[in-house]
Amino acid sequence: MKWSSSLYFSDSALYYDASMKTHFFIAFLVTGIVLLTCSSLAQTVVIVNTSVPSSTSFDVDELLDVYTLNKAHWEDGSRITVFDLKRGKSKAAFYEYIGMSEEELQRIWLRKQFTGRARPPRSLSSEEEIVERVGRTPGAIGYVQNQSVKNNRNVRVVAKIKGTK
Amino acid sequence: MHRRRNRRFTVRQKIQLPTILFIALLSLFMWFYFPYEQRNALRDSFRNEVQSLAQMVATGVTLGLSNQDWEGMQRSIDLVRQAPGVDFVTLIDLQGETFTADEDDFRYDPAYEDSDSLIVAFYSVDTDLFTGNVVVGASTDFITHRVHKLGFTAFWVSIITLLLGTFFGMWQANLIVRPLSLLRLAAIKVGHGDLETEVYRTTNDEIGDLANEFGKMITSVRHAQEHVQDANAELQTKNRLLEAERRQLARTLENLKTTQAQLVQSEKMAALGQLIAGIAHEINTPLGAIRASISNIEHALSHTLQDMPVMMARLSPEMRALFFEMVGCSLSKHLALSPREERKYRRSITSTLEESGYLHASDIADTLTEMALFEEWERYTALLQHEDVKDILQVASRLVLQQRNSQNIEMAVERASKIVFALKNFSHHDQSGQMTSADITQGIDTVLTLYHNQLKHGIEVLRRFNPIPRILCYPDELNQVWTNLIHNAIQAMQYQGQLEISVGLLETCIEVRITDSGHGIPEDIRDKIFDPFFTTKEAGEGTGLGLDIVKRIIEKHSGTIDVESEPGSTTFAVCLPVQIDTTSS
Repeated sequence: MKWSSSLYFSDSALYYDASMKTHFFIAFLVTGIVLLTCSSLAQTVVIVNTSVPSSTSFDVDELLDVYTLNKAHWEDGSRITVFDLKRGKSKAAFYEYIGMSEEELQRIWLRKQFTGRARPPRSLSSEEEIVERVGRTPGAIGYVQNQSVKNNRNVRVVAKIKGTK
Repeated sequence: MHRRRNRRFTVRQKIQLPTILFIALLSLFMWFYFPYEQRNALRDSFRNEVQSLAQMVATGVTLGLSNQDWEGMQRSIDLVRQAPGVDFVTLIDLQGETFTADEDDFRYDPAYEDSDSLIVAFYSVDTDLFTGNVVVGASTDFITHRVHKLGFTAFWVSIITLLLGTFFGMWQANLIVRPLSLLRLAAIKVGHGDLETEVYRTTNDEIGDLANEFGKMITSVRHAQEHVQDANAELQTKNRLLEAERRQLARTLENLKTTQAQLVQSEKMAALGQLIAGIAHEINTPLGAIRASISNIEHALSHTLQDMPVMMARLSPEMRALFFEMVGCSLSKHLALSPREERKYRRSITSTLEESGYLHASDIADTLTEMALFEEWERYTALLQHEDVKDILQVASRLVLQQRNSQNIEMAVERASKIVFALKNFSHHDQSGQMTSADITQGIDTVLTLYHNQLKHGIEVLRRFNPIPRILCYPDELNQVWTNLIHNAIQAMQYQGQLEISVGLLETCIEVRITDSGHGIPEDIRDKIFDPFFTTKEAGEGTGLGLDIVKRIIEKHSGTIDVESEPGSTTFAVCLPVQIDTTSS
């Protein structure tokens, strides 16, 4: 995740250094095209286990509550299990979506760990693993690229990250 | 009772108290020291434990953050949190602020580190996300609880030890004291004189030996006491005898004293008797002289009255005048010649008269010698040539004889009155008992006068009297001193020799030295002469008290008496102080 974003910005900086004022517009345009191409290929989605009540509305506030571990139970009383991606494209998209930096969120989690009131999130390495685990774990929630879902019957897509369309 | 009051601790207490004290101290030690040490040890090990818990958390956090292994981190935290006694697990940043504070109401307080009921351990964490310390706080309540439990046990063990120890101490004390107090009771009984007390051997140790020995001692004391009682009875008998003897002796002494006083008195009386005998003789002599003179006068007077008128008628007036002149001449002569001289004169007168052709020359010479007209008679030859010379001379000699005898009477009376005066002086007794001022020389003169008849026959008396002041003294008693000393001197000389009496003033005293020319006092008895009853005379003759009395009188005057003696010269020197301290007598 880290290196991908730094690559992204170093690209733009490279362009900015090379093109000067006259090339600013061109650089912006190229970047936009690259981004558009990417989003057209993959979109980040929020998935939950099918046991999670469908009445829940997964807006940004709800996601923020869940991912800052302030909310531990769904409406039906089942426990929430939060899954996080250790690194990947969808992670940046999701964090941007809920308006938190990775560092901020980790600090919150560290704090929560020491209060002992929240279940710790589970950080996994791959999206496939996340999909597989969310499907296996009742009350689980996670975020992946939409193509990773692969019609898994145990997961349900509850939100699509708009910024990446 | 009285002894017991003074005693502070009994033997029993002396054994009991240290034992109980020792056990009490041991109990206190067990009660306080062991729990205290236990607590410290527990705290030390618990601190290490908490420290490793903190390390575990720190490791969990570091690994969790680097691997994003939140579950692992939570497990390690939960594990530590569930560990026994753990109170809190938290993070504090480098400023000491509690990392979790904005979500949790728990805030770390540095005061926890000083709390007695908490043990706080730190372990540093250094990651990109967080730099600070893991803090683990653990309650020491369980330690306190365990220590309390131990204290409780220790308390009961102490109490039981104390009770057992006290019991043991008392038992031990009793074991020692019981035979001792039996022995003590026996000793008290013995002390009160009950020597029949039985002493039993109660234990087979030193005290038992002591009891044994004490029993033996009582037996020997009993024997000794019986012995002493016998001896005492014997002593009492002897004492009674001694007392009787003592009384006898006291009576004897009393008798002796009385006898001595009587002897002193009789010595005085004897001296007085001798003196009186001498004085009687002394007075008798002039009386005899007076008697003879009176008889002579009477005889001469009757003849004179008869013959004188006849003779006067025969004499012429010239002759008569010559006659009276001759008588007057004879009367004026007082020469008393020795018989030898008288004879010489008589022979010379006789021869002269015979040459001149006188008749009755021898008779005339006799008469003339009688009349003491040894040379003067030649003036009266006219009378001698008278025819009645015989009658004339007879009448004249009778007249002279009367005169002479009158003079003799006068002398005798004078002598007698002198003796009477001396006697009066000597026996003058001052009844006041006070010292009076007197002249010592006068006293000595008096005594010499009284001894005159014993001195006059063969003793030459030399008086060397220097002028001396009058002194305060007891004159009668001093007269007794002089009497004794002079009497002794006369006897020592056996009435023949020289008696020298010198009186003089030395520096502070009057010295009277009485020296006789007797045979002296042998040296071996010289020290004893002043002892009472010492005498050199035949038994019954002298009392031996004379010099004793002398010495006592002189001592009464604060004076001294010394004797120097060699054959032919014995001196008694008496010194009487001029200023006699009247208070000493």
